[in-house]
Amino acid sequence: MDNTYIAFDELKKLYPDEWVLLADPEMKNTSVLGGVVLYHSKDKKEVCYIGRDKTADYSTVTIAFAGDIKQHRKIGILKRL
Amino acid sequence: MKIFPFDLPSNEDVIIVNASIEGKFKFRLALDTAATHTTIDSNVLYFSGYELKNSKGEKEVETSNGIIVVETFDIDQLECLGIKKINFEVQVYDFLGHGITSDYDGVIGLNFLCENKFCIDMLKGEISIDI
Repeated sequence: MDNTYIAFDELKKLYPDEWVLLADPEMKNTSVLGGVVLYHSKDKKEVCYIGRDKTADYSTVTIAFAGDIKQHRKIGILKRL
Repeated sequence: MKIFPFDLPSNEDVIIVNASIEGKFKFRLALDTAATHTTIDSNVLYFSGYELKNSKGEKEVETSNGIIVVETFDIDQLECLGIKKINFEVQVYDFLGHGITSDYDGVIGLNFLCENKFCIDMLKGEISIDI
């Protein structure tokens, strides 16, 4: 992986339906517009665990999904017992 | 006062806000005013440099799907909606491991917002916060 900035629309073509670890992400509100790809995988857990060691040289990083998530269960926390 | 716009494309969507751990690890949380505590995915916590073995302990939490057990951690710096908390306790749960895959990584709960005046304007799609 090199340090080339890739726009999010391009990421969706390069890594369809994958989780992508991005360095120096460009954001607009909560949307990712692009960034430098450090790692990618269909498995988000893999991106978190393997990607952790790839972020040292960057000031900001994020993980984005290059596709549309079909979400069947929402996170719903109510109260601590 | 700071203003944070949000999108709600459909009535099945939730309000998503940006958050960061240590100012470096950017992620997305759902704003949940029905949640007493802030909860984040354990995979994201690990990604952010924390060791999951260093949990402060377990807590039981009531969710819409029943009672779950979460771990608790102190985050050195958690920032969201312009609010920065130091040594802030969060609940941590392995959402991925329990089959919950989402484009956000947890919820920002009332314990994060309890020291601020904030307004959710559903008509404008804006959250305003007195900081």
